[in-house]
Amino acid sequence: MKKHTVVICTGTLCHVLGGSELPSLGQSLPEAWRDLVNIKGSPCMGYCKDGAMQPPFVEVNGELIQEASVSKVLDCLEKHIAHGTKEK
Amino acid sequence: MALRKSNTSIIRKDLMIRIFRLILQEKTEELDRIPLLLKPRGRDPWRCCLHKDRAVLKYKIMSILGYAEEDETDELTPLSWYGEHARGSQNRYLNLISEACSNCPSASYVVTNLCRGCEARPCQVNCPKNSITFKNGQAFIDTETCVSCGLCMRNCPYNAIQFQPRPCEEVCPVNAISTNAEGHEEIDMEKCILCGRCMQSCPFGAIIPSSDVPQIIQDIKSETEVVAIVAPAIAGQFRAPLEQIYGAIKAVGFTSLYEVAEGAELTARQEADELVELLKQSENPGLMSSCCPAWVDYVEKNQPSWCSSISHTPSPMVLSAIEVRKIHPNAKIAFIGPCLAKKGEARKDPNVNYAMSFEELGALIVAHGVEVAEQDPYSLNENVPELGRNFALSGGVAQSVSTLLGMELKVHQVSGLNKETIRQLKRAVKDKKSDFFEVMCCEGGCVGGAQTLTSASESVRIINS
Ligand code: FES
Repeated sequence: MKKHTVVICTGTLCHVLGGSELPSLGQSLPEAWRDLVNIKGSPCMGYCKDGAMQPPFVEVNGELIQEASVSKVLDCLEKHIAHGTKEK
Repeated sequence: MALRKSNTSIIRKDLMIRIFRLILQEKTEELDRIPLLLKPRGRDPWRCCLHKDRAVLKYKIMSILGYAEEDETDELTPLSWYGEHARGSQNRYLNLISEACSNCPSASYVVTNLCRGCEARPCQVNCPKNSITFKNGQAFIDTETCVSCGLCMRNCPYNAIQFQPRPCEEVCPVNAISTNAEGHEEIDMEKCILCGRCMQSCPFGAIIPSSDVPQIIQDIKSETEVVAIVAPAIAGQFRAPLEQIYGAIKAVGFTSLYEVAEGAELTARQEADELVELLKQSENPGLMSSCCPAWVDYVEKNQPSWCSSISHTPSPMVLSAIEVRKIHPNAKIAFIGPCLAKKGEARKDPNVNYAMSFEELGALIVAHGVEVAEQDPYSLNENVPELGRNFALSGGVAQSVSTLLGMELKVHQVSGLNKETIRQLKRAVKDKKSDFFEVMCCEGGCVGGAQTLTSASESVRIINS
């Protein structure tokens, strides 16, 4: 089964500007989702080079979340899980 | 309560990144553009209008560059001027920007429109001071007679009564912040211990420290030797091993590095020696730790009678700087740590030239475009100063001292100085039952410092992973 993929930017800028707790997302994941979701860290994803976008950045199945927080990511994941969108 | 994740600390760091970047690129003339970039036309304002937001941003930038509002003699002086004359935290550690202060109403209980004016009126019947009357079917609190006991709030079945705090005053452990004649908040620096709680708790980001980084950048540019002495709480501040974090500190231009954990070992040894002497006395009043500058300041300003109990041992920062001075007599020494109070302590120490926070370090690293996780590891010590690294966590100092003594100590530990822990401390001092008082101003110890990049719990998680 293809899993839902969460990519968290672990670049220094995202870390400094509000993303320091995001890599611990796994700890907030509901028990039932654990097998459905694959969480990965990524070096700087490049979005921070665009001055108009707001860090920190997370992607859920390729969908970009700006100003990401644990609760925003969980909310987005819920939507993806409900719609059964899987990584292509 | 300090706001955990909030825009104010992010804006502060974002401003620092932008300022440091422009200074590095020698483009200080563009500093005046920052408020416009952050609040361009058409953007929703945080305050009444964009112009106010921009003015506040301007004062925040000035503050980072070492100038308070009252240092502004001509309102038309551009930010570029302040950028070229950045003067660090020597004059101003912490600035309260009255333009940014929202003049929050003084702390009180307020009746909201959830009040239904019920028949039971538990607010009124439980009020010990008869401060509650009813007008037009709604409860009304007479602020003259109200003693803020909170019984009305606790008894209302509709949660219609709320406590409205003034956040900065609420968290200040020493009542150093209050309203001046113009109705703005003001910090009394005679009382302030630089714990940084007001800065963390102000929802308007009106309290903001000055930074030494612009001067450090200039020193590095002019090839002055700048040695970083780095506090043990650095572990866990970035998602990378310690050696790589040190690599990043090298990459932003510091000539060399020294672990304050080494100085902390010296502190622990000297404190242990002091304690041995004290334990010989028939009535041991207890030794109080001296490594936390906010705590030492607290005693000096608020409990002068305890001064004699404070350990005479210099703090790890001071001892580290002495060691570094021996090897680098002409270098500038910059302390890097989680703490605001170190800015005050650094100023008093002839060996320490600068004090910068982890927030400032993070901003400097980003301004340089350096990726911490891509740095070559830089290792400092063959013998890891384990005893010294303990100093970053509450309980660690006492543990190191008792390890050195090889005995169990009766320790009174304070992890976070606040009104309640101060009460407990006073009792413990009177009881004379403790050998050692380990007091750290911040909750969890230095890892919970006012200017860290990761929360105390997250940094512990990073260290363990
Ligand atoms: S650091 Fe996250 S996108 Fe660059």
